[in-house]
Amino acid sequence: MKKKRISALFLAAVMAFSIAGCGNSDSAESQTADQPDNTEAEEPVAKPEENAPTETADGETTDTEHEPVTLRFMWWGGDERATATLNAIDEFESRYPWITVEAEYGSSDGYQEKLTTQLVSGTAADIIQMGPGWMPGYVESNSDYFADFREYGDIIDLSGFEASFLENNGGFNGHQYGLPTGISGQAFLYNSALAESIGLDFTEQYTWEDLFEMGKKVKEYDDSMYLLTMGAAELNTMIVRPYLTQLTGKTVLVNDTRSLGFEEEDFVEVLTYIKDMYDNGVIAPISSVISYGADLITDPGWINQKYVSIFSYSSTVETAEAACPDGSFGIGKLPVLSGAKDDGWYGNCPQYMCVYGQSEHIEEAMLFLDFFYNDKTAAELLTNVRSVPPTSVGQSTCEELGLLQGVAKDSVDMIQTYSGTNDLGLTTEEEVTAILEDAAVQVAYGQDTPQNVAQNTMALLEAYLSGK
Amino acid sequence: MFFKKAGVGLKKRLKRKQYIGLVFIMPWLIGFIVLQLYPFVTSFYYSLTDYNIMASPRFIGIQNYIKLFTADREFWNSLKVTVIYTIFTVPGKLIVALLVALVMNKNLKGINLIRTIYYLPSLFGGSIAVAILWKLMFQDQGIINSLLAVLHIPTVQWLGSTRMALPTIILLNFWQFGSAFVMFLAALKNVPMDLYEAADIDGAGGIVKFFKITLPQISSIIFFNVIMQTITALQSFAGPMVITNGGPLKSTYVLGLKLYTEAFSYYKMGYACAVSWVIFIMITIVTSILFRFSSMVVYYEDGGEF
Repeated sequence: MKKKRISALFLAAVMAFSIAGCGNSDSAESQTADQPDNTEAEEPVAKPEENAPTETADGETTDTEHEPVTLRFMWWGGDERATATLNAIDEFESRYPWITVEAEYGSSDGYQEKLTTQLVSGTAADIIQMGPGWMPGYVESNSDYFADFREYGDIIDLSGFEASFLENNGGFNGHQYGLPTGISGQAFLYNSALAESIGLDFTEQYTWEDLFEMGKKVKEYDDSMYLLTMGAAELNTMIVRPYLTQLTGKTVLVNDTRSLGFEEEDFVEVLTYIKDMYDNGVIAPISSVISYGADLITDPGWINQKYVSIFSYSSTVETAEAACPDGSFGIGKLPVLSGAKDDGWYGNCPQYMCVYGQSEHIEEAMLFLDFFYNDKTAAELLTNVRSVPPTSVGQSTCEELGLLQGVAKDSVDMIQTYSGTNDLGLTTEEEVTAILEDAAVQVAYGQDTPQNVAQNTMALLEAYLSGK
Repeated sequence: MFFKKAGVGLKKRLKRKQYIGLVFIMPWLIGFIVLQLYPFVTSFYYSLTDYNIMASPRFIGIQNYIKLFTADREFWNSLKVTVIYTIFTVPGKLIVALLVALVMNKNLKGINLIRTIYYLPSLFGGSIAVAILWKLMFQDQGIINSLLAVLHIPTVQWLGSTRMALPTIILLNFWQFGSAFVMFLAALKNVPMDLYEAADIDGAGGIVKFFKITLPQISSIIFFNVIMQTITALQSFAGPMVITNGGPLKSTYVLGLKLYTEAFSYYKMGYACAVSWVIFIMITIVTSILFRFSSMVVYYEDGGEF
C-alpha cells in the first residue's frame, strides 16, 4: 500500500516536471516554427555562387583577393518585406561575390526575447533590425553590443540622412548605434465621408476637448456609432503619453533623472478625460473591443463603418484603410492641448538597423548597410517596405516609382508637422507600458475612480524606478 | 563468454553489472539531468538572486519571496485566479471525460472510429490553434454571439467582461478532455462483467450499478486523473496567454502567465524563478493532501498492497 502510494507520488512529481518541460518545448516549437523561414532563406544564398563566374568574366577580380565572408541578417516583417529584402540581398551578393548574407527572418512575435538572449550569449546576427523602444535598454546595459556607425564613415556614407533626424533616431550620446529604416509616427485615420456627413473637421488643429465634443456629435448623429475605437495599447500611446507630455512638457518617466515627469493632479486629469470619453460614448466600449487585442481593425465594427476614426501608425494606416473597403479615408491632425508645453507627438522611425559589436565582420556589415541605404538599385528593390525611406536616394526612388502617395505618405507628412519630445526610454519599457495600459483600462472599465487609479499607478511606477 | 568469467569475484561482477545498467538508462539519465534536474536546482538558486540576464545574477537572499508575498498585489490576484481556474477546470473536465467515456464504452457499430474522432482534438488540444479558434468564436461579434442573436438570446461579452473571461477559458478546458477520457475508457473496460451480472440478478438499476460498481472500480483512475489534471491546471499558460493575454483587468492572469511575463517581458529572471518555486511548492502540497485523502475514497483490488 505504502510502496504503491510512494511510487505514485514520485510518478506524479516526475510528471509535474515533464509538464513543466512541455512548456519549454512549446517555446522551442515556436522557435522551430520560425526555422522554415531560415531554410527558405538559404535559396538566395546559393545564387551568388552561380553568378560568381559571370562577375569574374566582367573583370571583377575581387573574388581572389578576399576571404569568403558570411554575414547574418536578422529582421521581422511580413512577406512583402521579406521578398524585397531577399532580392536586395541577391543584388548585393552578385556585386560582392565573396560575401554571403544569410537571412534570418520571421514574425515580430518573440523577436525581442530571441534577440535579447542572443545578445547576452554572444550569438546575435551581424546585422540586426531593431525596435527603437528596446534600444535604450540595450545600450544602457552594454554599449559594446553595437558598432558605432560614425567610426566607419569611410565605408558607410551617412550624408543621405537628414542630420538631425539621424541624431534623434539611433544616436546615443554622440554614438550612432542605429540607423533609422524609415520615417513614421502616430497617425489619426478617419473616415472622410462619414466625417463630412456628420460635420466633423480634422484638417484644422483641434484640442482634446474638441475631440470630446466631436465624439458627442457622432452620438447625436447615430447612436450606434462611435468617434473612436481604441485598445489598451492605444489608450496608452495615443492618449496617456501625449496628453501628459503636452501637459507637463516632460516625458512620462524622465530618463535623465529617473523620476516621474508628472504630478498626481496631471495624471488624474488625463484619466478623468479618458473616463469622460467612455462615459459619453466617444470611444467604443472597452469590453466590446478588447478581445480584438492588437488587431482592432479586425473588429466588424471597423469593417462596417461603426467607428469614425482610429489612432494608428503611418506604417499600419494602409492596412486599416484596406480593412474597410467601403470607406474613404483621410489623415487628420493629432489632438493638442491648448497652451501645451510640448507637442506630444513626434515623427520617428519604425525600426533601426544595427551592426552587432561582437561581429567578426563589422566592415562587411557596414558595406552591406551602405548598399542597403544608399544604392539606387537597392532602393528600387526595397521601396517602402520599411515605411517611407529616410535617405534622399530612397525617397527620390520611391517618388519616381509613384509609391509616395495615399494615407501612408500623408501620415508621414502630417507627423513631421509636430515636434514633440521623443519619449523612448524608460517610458517605453515593457513593464512601464503594462502599468500605464492597466491604469487606462481600469478607468475605461470604470473599475475605480481616476484619483485611486492615479495613486496606485504612481506607486507602481515609483516601485519600478526604485528597482532600476 | 559469460561462463568463462563466472569465476570473477562477486564484487567485480556487481560493479560491471551496475555499469552496464547505467549505460542502458544513460539516454534518459542525461536528459533528466540536463533538461530537468539542472534547471530545477539552478532555478532555486536564481530565485534567490536579482537577475536580468544582461548582467550576472546578484545574490539577494529571500528578497524575491518577501516581495512576492508582501508587496506584489498582482501575485495574490494571480493566485486567486489560478485556484478558481483549478477548482472549476478539474472536476468539469473529469465529468465530461467520464461521460464521454461511458458513452464510448457501449458496443455500438463503428465505435472505434467514433472513439478516434473524439480523441483527435486532444492531439492538438493544448495547442495554440485551438485557443485561437476559441478566441475567434467568443469575440464580441464572433460566431457564438451571432448564434445567440439568431435565437434571440441576449449576447454576452465573453472575453471583454471581467466576470465572463475566466469562465470562458475554463470552458475551453472542459472540452480538452482527451487524455483523461482515454484513461477512463481503459478503466471502464477493466471493470469485471460478473459484478454487473450479479447486480442484474439482484435487480439493481443502471444508476445504482454506476454508483455501486462502476465508480468504486475505477476510483483509482479517477484519483490518478484528479492529480494529473490538478497539476496541469495549476501550471496552465497557453489558453489564458492566447485568448485574453491575462486580461481584461488581470481577470485571467494565472500564475503561469505571470511567471512568463516577469521572465520574458520584464527580464526579471530571479523573480520569475521565485514564482515558479511557489507554483512547485503549491503543487507538492496539493498533491500530498490529495494522497492523504485518497485512502478514504480509492478502492484497490489488491487492497493497495502489491
